[in-house]
Amino acid sequence: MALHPQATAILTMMAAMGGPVIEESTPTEFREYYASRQVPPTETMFEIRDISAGGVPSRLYRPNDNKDLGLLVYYHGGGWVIGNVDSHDSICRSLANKMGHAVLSVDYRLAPEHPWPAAAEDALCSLRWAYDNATELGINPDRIAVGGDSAGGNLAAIVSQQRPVPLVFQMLIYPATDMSQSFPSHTENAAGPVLTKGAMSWFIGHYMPQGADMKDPLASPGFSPDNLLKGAPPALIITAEHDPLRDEGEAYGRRLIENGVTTSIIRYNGMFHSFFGMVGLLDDANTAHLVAANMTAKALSE
Amino acid sequence: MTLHPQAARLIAVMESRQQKGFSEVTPQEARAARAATDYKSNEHVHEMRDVNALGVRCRLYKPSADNNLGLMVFFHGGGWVLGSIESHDGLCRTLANQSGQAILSVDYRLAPEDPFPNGLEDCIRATLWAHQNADELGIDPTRISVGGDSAGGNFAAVVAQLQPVPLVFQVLIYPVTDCTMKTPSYVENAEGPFLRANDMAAFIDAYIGDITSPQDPRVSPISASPSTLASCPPALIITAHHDPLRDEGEEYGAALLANGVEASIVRYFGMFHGFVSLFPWLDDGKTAVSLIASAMRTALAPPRNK
Repeated sequence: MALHPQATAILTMMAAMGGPVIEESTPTEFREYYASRQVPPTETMFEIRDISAGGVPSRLYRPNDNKDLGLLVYYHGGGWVIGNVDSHDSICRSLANKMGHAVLSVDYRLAPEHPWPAAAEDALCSLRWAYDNATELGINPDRIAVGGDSAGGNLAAIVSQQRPVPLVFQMLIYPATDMSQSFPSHTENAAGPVLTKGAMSWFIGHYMPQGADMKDPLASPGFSPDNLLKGAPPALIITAEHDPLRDEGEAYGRRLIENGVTTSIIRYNGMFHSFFGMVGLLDDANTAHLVAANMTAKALSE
Repeated sequence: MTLHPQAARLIAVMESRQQKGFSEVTPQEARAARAATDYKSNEHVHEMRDVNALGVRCRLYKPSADNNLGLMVFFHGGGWVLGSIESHDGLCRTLANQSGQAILSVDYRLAPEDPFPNGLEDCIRATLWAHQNADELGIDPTRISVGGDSAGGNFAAVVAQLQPVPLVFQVLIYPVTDCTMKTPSYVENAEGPFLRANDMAAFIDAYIGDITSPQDPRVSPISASPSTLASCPPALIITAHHDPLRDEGEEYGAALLANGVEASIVRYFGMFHGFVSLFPWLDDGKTAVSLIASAMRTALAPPRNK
């Protein structure tokens, strides 16, 4: 199927601007390029402050001064190698404002300097800290959700299985659930756009140490045993048609449903990996934010 | 089959009530059975009134006193045989309020008593009437869209191709776009849930019979020429994974994209045919309604706010 014309326009513009090929870059080089491409946020926030979440640098977004807000702990994407709280600042502002609840964006450690399972450990640590320090954050510890896109969706799915604290919802945006890249969409969308099969291999190569078990539940939540999926919080999974990660996201959703988890799985045809980050630029990103914010806010408000 | 747990529960309730498929009863029996399960919405809408649109009964929904609203001309689903402005009254109320735009819901004539092209003519007539009477209705004639679910999505897609008046948007909710019933989802979801392949065969037979070919673009908009497809307004298409009509909805979206039309195509995996109008009972129905309303708000905004 074809791409949405708005997607084609953005991808054409990105191609015209040039840039390095990720597999031919060092992580440092590609992080610099990724940062140089960032567009300043357009949405204002009631309160933004950087904090240390039990030693993990994080950024708190509050849409109002209510001291009993729900909280979405958000893990940014970037293949565990690139990205940070700045790269996903617009996403977090949009979600916090649309939900009317707080967001804690986690600057977990990146590979290859900090290989697996450092990112997963930071994800768990920051979540536990948010629960223990709810009063300081001005949130209700019984109303915490997790979310993330791509590698961040992987971390959100993992913490939803481990559940160090009670969770009411998980928002998984084109999550990586299978480090072995075994699903057909890796072949179908091997050439991208944006995320290629080669780029995904580059990310996994930097993140997963030689000889690590690709099917460990702290790496590939899609391979976890049923008992880790049973009792996981209700889920929303959003996928894009033109994305190597499409099939593993949808398959993970089916496994959640088969294990009794209330799960909504929504695919955007015509869209590509990373479209969710282009809120304000793509109509489909705008409606995806609305769906994600509405469902999460409902769970955080119940 | 991996249905969302809310969908599985709702289907179990519906199946316990309905013993016979649409193909096994008369249209009158099916209509009576369907109408008995219509839910009555008590959602407040600023203004609701029934109007006569060049002989076609319609219901106008206005969410505010604003006299410069965008409009969606809405065609209800029901296989061209069932349904009415009453069956989709709750959906239209919520869409009007959430989108902030007016809706004109069309009570077109039903098959088999009124086969093709009678229902389609009613839809076109209502659309023309809305355009001609924009001032009186308090809407902007340059901000008119069409929408519908299932058979109503078929009417919306066809009207969007014929463009009896300038149209700026089309919302197609699991639309019928291909009356040849040849897509893989027809086989995969032949037994439903809710809508079965033989129900669709009965509906299509009631609507077009031998009157025209199932490849006629006026009943199968996917058969239209590339130039016709290219002339269509931007589209939002919603599909359900467990639906015989899934593939033709998505293929129609792909055909629009291939011809340069902005088409957003969103599939709900755990859902089945009819889930959007069942939104009071389904979280996914609720988010789909919000998604549609948000897209309408953007597409039908006054030019200065776009």
